[in-house]
Formats: sequence, structure tokens, C-alpha cells
Amino acid sequence: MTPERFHALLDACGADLRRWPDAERDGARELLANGPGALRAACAEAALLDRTLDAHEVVAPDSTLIERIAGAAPSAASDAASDAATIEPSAGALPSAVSSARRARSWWRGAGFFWPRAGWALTGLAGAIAGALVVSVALGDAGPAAATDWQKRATAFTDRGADWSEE
Amino acid sequence: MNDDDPDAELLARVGRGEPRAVREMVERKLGRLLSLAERMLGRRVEAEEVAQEVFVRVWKQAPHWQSGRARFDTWLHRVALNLCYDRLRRRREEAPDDDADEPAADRAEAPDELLEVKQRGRRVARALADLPQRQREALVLQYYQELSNGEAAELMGIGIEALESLLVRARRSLRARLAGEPRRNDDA
Repeated sequence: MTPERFHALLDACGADLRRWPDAERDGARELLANGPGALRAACAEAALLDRTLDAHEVVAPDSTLIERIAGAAPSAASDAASDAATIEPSAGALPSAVSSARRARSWWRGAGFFWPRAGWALTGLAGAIAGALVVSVALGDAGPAAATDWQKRATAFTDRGADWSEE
Repeated sequence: MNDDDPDAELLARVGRGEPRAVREMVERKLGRLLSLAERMLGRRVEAEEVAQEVFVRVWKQAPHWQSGRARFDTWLHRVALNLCYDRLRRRREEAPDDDADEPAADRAEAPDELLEVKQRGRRVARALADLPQRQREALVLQYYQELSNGEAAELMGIGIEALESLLVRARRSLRARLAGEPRRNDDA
């Protein structure tokens, strides 16, 4: 590494070599140990700015926020329940049922996010209704073998093609 | 499964709706998201709203995640940054001159030492808020979020040289601003 490159990286990344590009770290250490003393002085000056920047701390999230966010996530049970409630009546109606199930899940999510308490209450109600449906299917007819295969249902939409990494 | 992505396994469990995984994901990523959003927006309340919006997207997308296309953490930063941009844009449109917000911090009474630390943090927050947006973004991603230069550049859609140039300008501005700013007693 040249002293010029060292200064360029010091100006960009600061004095902590852990923030430097992997490939240039060893060269920087070598130069710092054996190069001109001016490099070490420049490093000390950059470290001052680093310490100042570190004074800007962000308060860690409190438990209320953690609970609120985690509570807004759909649980496997509520998802499966909403799938069961919409899909069970007719296997032949799967495409529209799937679409309904997706809409239902979106709705639950929205409810959970904006009104966590209401979301939980409604989720419980949905669970009860879906539970009743599942029981009736299990006792009443020879529904599809996958009737209780929650895992399979929960991943029924995994072929969605959206490139959401660009969102 | 993408072996290079340390979040892949947890994300898969979130996609299966495992409550413990959901909780673990929040605990693993929330602080990081708040750190990003608060430093970009300068407002705690908005940062929390952004974090919540990001997680809504996580819950929605987790079952559909395709490993190997992007690292989850990179995607998370992308989503959070976009939400921050939206808010900054709206802020400019609604009140173009209202850019000198008090950075996120409370004004509660505190012992002298704590007060001094808080004041210093507030000065940095103000200086950060005054940076041009792209410089602030580069510094927040590379310095505070500790992303590699390559990851930060990729997120910003620029080359590594351009990122280094933004970082140099950001650090110079901050050094000048923070060195030249007198410590005021009325900071608290």
C-alpha cells in the first residue's frame, strides 16, 4: 500500500482498520508499523473524529416496541386457520381461495400492526371459527389428506415471482 | 439455503410462522434498523415508525424469500432506506425550511457527565443532519451500520470510488463543523 492510498482510506473510513476494505487491511497495518511517523499522527487525528462520531448513540429499543412489532407478525396458527377457513370448502376452488387467503392474511397483518389488541382478539375469533371448520372436515367427510398440513398450506405461495429484493 | 447469509435460517423459520423466530428476528434486527433510521431522519418517533413498517414487510415476505438472490440484511437496509427517503421527500415537500429539527434526544435532567455525553451526541446528530443526503447515507451505512464499502456502495447504487469520495467529503464536513462549533451551555 502506498502512503497516498493509506491517506485516502484514512480520510474515507476513519482510523479503525476494521472499517477498511478487507483486501487492504494487512497492507495498511504493515505501512503503519514500518512507514513514516506522519501516518501514525494522521491516524490519531482521524481517531479523534471517530470518537466524536461515536458520541451519537441511538437508544436501544424498549420492550414495548419489541412486543408491538413481534405481536404484529402473523403466527403459524392464525395463518393456517385463515387458510383452512377459506380453502377447505372446495379443493377445486383453490386459486380464488388462495387469493382470498392472501387477502385475509394481509388484513390480519394490517389489523395487527395498527390495532394490536384488536388484531389479537380477531385472530382468536378466526382461530375458533377455523378450528370448528377443521373439526367438521375431519369428522364429516374424507377431505383432502392435506387438510391439516399447515406447513404445506403456509408455503402455497412460495412461487410468487416478485423480485422483492428491489423493494 | 444461502450458506453465506447468516440470517437465512432464522428467516426461514419466520416464514414458517414460528413465534420464537419472530421474536428473535425482532431482537436481532430492530436495534440496527433504529440506528439506521434515526441517523437518517434525526427523529426517534419516525425511526420507530419506519422500523415497524420494515418489519411488516419482513413478515409479509419471509415465506417467499429466495435465498441466494440478496443477503437479507442488505435487503432490510434497502427497504429501510427507501422508507427513509420517502419521509425525507415528504418533509421537504411539506415544509422546505423545516430542516433544522432538534435531533432525536430527550431534554430530561441528567447528571453533568451524562449531560455532557448527550450534548456531544446532539452536536454530532445536528452536524449529521446538515450533511447532504448522499453523504449522510454513505457515512451512516459505512461507519455506523458497519457495512463494508462494497455493501454500502451496492446499496447506494454507486461504485466504490464514488462511495469513498462521499465518505471523504462527509468526514471533512463533520470535522470542520464539529471543530468549529463552540460548546454551548444552552444545548441541553
